[in-house]
Amino acid sequence: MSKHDVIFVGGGFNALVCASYLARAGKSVLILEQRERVGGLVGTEEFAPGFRASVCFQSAELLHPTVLSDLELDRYGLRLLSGGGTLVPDGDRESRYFAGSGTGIEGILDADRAGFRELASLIEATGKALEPLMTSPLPDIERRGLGDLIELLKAGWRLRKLGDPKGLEVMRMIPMSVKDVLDERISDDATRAALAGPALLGSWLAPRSPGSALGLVYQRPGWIDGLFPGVAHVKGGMGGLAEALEESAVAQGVEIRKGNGVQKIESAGTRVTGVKMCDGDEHTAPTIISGVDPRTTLLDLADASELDPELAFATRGIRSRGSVAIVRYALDSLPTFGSASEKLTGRIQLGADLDTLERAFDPIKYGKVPESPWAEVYLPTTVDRTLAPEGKHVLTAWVQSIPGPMGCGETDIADEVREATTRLLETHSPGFSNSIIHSHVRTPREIERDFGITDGCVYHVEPAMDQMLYLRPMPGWYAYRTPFRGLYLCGAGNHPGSGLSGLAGKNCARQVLSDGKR
Amino acid sequence: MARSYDAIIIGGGHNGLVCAAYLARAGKSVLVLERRDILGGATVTEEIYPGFKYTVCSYVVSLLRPQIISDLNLPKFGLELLPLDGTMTPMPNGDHLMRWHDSADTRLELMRHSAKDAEAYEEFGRLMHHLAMTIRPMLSTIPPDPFSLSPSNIADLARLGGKFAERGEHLYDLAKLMTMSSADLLEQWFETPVLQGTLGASGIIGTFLGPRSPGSAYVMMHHYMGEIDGQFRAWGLPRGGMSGVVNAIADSARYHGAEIRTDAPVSEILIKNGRATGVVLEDGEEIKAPMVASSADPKITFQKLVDQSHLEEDFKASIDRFKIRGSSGKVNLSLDALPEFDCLANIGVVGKDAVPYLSGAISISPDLEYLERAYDDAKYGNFSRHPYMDIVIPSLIDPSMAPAGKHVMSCFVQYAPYDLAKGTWDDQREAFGDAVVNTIAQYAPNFKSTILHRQIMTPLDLERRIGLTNGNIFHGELSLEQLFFLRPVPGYGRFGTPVKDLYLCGSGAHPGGGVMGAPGKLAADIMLEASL
Repeated sequence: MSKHDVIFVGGGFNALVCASYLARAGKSVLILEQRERVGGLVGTEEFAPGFRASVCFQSAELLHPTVLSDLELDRYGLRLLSGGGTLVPDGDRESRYFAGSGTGIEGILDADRAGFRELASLIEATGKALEPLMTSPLPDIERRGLGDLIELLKAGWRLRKLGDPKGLEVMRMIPMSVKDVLDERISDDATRAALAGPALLGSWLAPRSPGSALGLVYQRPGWIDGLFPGVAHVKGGMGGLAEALEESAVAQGVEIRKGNGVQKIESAGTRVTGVKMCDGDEHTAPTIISGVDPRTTLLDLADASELDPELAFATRGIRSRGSVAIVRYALDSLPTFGSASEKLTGRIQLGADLDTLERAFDPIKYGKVPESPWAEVYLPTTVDRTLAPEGKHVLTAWVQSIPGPMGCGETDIADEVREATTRLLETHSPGFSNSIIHSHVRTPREIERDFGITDGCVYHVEPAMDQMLYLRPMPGWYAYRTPFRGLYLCGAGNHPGSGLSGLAGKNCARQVLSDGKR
Repeated sequence: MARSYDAIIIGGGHNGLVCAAYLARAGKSVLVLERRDILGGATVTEEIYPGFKYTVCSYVVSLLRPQIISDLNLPKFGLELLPLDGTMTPMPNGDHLMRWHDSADTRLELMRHSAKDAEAYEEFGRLMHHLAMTIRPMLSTIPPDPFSLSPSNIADLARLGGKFAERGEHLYDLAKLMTMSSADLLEQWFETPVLQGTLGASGIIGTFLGPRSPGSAYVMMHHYMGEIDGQFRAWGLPRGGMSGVVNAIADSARYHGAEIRTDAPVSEILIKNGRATGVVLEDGEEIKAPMVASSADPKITFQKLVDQSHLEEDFKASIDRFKIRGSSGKVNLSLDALPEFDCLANIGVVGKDAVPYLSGAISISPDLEYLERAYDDAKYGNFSRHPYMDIVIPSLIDPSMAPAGKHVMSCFVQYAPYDLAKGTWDDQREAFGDAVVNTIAQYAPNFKSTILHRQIMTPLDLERRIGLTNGNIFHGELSLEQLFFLRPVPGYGRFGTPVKDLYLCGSGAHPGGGVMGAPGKLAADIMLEASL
């Protein structure tokens, strides 16, 4: 029995951020983490003897600068190692490399320069217009308070200030497909693919899906410079970020208990009272914040029978389908991808045109694994020698459009995914297969099993037009609150969602604090 | 001395004629110029083979604005809508799904497939009804410019905001529906694949989207709007086919003094000092008027009829980017006898007893996967090997459409992409027709032997014959970025164009395609306001 102001269910990335902010505001905070380490999908593990690699997320460049400075992550040991831009190998053809921004941009064909500049300024303008809506809870549109109304009008004004026709052009772009947006401006296949890849990664969308252009903005938000930002590797793998967050939180007095999960969020009616642990222990607190995905939180952990039927229906309507497999290789030698080794330190996109990306997506619609998938690949050992033995390397592939259990049912697809991924790597870097010492696969099924996320959906709630802003995670529940009084959500399934910005956690803390004052 | 006019309307399709009728009714002298020898554009009946009258393109009236029907007094001018009752979806396993006009009958039928779905169906209908009612005022509203600070515009914005606020509780649902896919919505509500498929089919009609594409749920709701207006008797097949509606509008326009010329193709819109001053016909005749409205699609209007030197680069780029990919075809057939569907024979419904089942729409949409796979073919430039079809047999509703004992059948077919990956539509036309006939024959074994004639309208044929760019039936895709104040292009959502006194009054303008008449009416409103 313990007495805290706030209890966190799960100690994932956003929960650590949120807890730190609350502790800084003077709250007594307890984090309850099921696993032996905190950070969730932000972590490092030894996946083969002597080889360590990030478990899921690979880079930290989207981290919002305020989170970095407010939580003093430098002071608590976070070391960022800058990697390169985007390399696009294309089988036998020469690889293409994209990096830099503004006039220093590298890799854009002369014919596409004007179109690229227009696109970059459009995305930048949209990012800047949206940034204030992302860095704080959304203005409350139901209460219709004056302050909130002013915030909304300000957002509209910022859009208007972009000028005619740019403001309208921004509105036009948001619901479009990434393919249409790119086709209008860029003629080169590799450039289109390099831009579309990050916008699609982790979603259940393809280049032709309306709304996928929104990913361009969400993955290249206002605080990021240019469309090909360099990868920010974390020293020691992404676990280095989790450790810095943990230390920052603990230094502020946050208590963290590991190795025992929350079994049930207890409530009296729809007012939460505390949590019951897997080992039978109980904790009470007036405020419970869940870093676990919204479906699991509301349907499994909380007492779903207390939800009124319409809310239960809306909750079940949250789409959290897995779509990414993480495949890691321990390698004897560095693959070449037809390029000089200094260009291998960033993201390497295997999928050099939009039709390849589109065709790789088709099978997931029918619950199948693509024979020819596309992937975003990282070689962290090119900048961080602590991860593998001397002379050896680690390669991590985010393989896109791999179904989770909701899509493929009971079928075990891990080996099929491994083989397809190895084939893909072999195509773009001949001889790759011979350098494999060990490989490790997590399809969405294993992500769900190991991290407790519905269907292994890495962004908790699929990024898509109808699950963004006021609709994230479900219509009207954009303010981190839930139908249960005292229960909040702080994970990636909440606004602004996808990408490791830390803003969902930060905004949730702000909402909890301001609700506390009411 | 040629007669002078207050306004010239380019194109004698239903929207051009509606625009003309409203202008004439307000006392303007109006001239309509139609390229073909027959009025109607894509809203037309043609006797292609003696005795067999085809509804060549559009084949049903579902969205014609009730206000237009009454303002223009269309029933007096001969419009009679004959109801189409129900939708039958044959299933590959020999079963079927029948949705009747009567909701109790439909409920009984749905019970046969799933008691849960029978329950949910009514609730779903209520939600769609509410959402359609929320969005319906937009169909008869001139879109405000979201960035203009002029007092009248702010008043318009406030009025629209007020209309939405009245339905506050549904705004989130509406936002969700506007942005989600029909498959996601239907899978949340229903468990019966054939019901999901048949409802989802209305979300893809005329679009280059699959049921899993975000945005398709909005298109689906568009059809519920038709059903609501159906209560005002605006749902069905006009007597005499689609020309029935166009002839009534034309007669109403003439009654109010409009002049209508066929065989009068416009080759250029005359522009002087940035203002439209008239048109030139292909034979060189010049006709002057202080206002010109084009019901041709935006691409034709601004890329073919307007000299490019009159347009700014930005606007030309916007028109160039306007999305107008064609995705559907039409196969019209003359039949010696009615098709005998296995799914009806299996329940002992044959001969005359089958007629009620065939008198509505017949939908080839067994499940969402079928539709999505049809879309996958089209994405890469192939027509669907197993296409989605919406089939109507007009002669069952209006016997005058075919010789006694014979029938005409209209098959709307999707997908048929305008740009083929291999070959041309001129080589592929018959193969496309075969895919359609073979698909139907899988459900109705006698079908092939009953075919007397067939007319295959590929997207290329729709472009050549009717003048629809890329064969797009809506004069431009109904995707979110091309709707409301963004239709057709950003900055020109109010029927005006960069050329003063030149207006758009066709489906390429707000609120878009379908035999609705709204663009023509709203454009006339704007033109009348401007001419005061």
